[in-house]
Amino acid sequence: MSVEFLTYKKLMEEVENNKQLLGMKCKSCEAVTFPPKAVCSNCCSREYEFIQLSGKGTVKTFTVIRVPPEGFEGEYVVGLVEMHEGPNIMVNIKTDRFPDMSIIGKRGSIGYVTLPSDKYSGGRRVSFLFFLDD
Amino acid sequence: MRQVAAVGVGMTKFGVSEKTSVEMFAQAALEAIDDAKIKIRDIQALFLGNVFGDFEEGQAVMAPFASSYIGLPHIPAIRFEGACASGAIAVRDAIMWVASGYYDIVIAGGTERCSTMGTSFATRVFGMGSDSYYEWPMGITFPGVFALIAHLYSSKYNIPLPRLKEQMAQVAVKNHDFGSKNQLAHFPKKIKVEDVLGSMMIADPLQLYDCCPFSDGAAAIVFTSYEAARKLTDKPVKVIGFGQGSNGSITHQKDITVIEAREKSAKEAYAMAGITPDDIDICELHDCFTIAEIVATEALGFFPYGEGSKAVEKGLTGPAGKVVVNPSGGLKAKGHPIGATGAAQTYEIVKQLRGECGERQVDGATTGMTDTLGGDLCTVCNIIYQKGW
Repeated sequence: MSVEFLTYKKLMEEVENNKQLLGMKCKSCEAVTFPPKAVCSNCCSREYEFIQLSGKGTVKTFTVIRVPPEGFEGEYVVGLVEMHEGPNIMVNIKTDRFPDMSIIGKRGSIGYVTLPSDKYSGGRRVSFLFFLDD
Repeated sequence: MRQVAAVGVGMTKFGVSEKTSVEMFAQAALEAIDDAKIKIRDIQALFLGNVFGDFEEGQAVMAPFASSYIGLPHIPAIRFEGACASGAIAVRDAIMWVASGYYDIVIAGGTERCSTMGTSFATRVFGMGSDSYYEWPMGITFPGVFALIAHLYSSKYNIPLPRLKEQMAQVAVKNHDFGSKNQLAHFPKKIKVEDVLGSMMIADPLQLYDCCPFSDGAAAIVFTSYEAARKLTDKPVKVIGFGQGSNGSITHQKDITVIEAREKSAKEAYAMAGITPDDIDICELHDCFTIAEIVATEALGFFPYGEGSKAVEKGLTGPAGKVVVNPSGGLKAKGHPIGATGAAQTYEIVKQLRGECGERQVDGATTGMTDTLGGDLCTVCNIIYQKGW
């Protein structure tokens, strides 16, 4: 049986060309898996379909990176967001001010920007952004 | 499986070293070989933890070079890579090979020379321990990962952040108190809560003194069958249990304040040893950041979930605590040469059980545990040791 994975290449093409975020939905238990895996993250089934995720979610936790690694600049906010469909996604939260604990639980939408390759990344990357609802 | 014992240990001073990774390992290994009263050529295999030799010194395949440098015969020499748990998983494999009966005498350890990279490049390279596709592109760093845990911990258990930060600072103060009595430590000096809370912000809410340093260093242990150990030494330290677990990327972990790989690993180790967390007298655990120590004490079963931070306040992990945590000074004060850390934790437990720790000796310790975590909570390894005499 040949299985078509939701490869990083396919995910990135969909983001860049159609501004859409794909995930996997299990045909057996209906759980949604993201980031993609070879099997359903809930029941290990290999029978799944690719679905378009809503791009909506809620902030679970966050930090402000004050000492960036090589390749990144300035101070910026990284968060873990629980998506509407269940899975988590790591994002850069775009805010006017550095947040405090009150940002936890806030809702918003996922956006995208493409990062160029660096010496070690083996290609370009999608960086996920997060914009809080008003 | 056969019973296995540690018969010799060695460790370099942690800090900034002029020695190469191989030279540091040789220093630790020769000390361990002498401590075990064996001959170099008695050793049948080398298990070496090393994470970023490729980036630090342009050196891959470090194990055979290390083997040759100390004159080991043409025996298998294997590099183990499990990020910051590399030394621990090398130790665990070494133990299993002796337990299986395949080898009688082996040496395990780790070495790392982090300081060659400088902070900016080191932060990039350490970031390789994150998911390179779904985490790194957001600029996450190691302190950042544990900062995410700290904020979630505060929110989940409804502990106001200022109080949690004070509790975290107390972890740093405790570990520096212990570290001040360890001459091999990178930073053998005491600090105060105010020093932590006044230090530079690294990744909110973690400040500089919530973080362990990048260190250079090496450690090594000689393992033999317990039967052979009893002929070599009056003080063989028995391995009574071990476990190892894995997690995927952070996004795939349900709750990063509860590290499931650690729960699985610790459970396995306790079951093999036939003991409970209450039986552990001393534990060298993975305090790469202050919050990391707090969540580790919970997943290891020393305290209920959500109580680890209060346990620090009550001194339950201090010198007179129910379990003495990080008597060496931990990664925080002793330092964190990542590939060597698991081996250095083993060094401390063996020395403590043998009663050789001088000022920081925990009196009456008979059972000790190591806990090492690698990557973004990806790999955890636990090993339990007991006095064998």
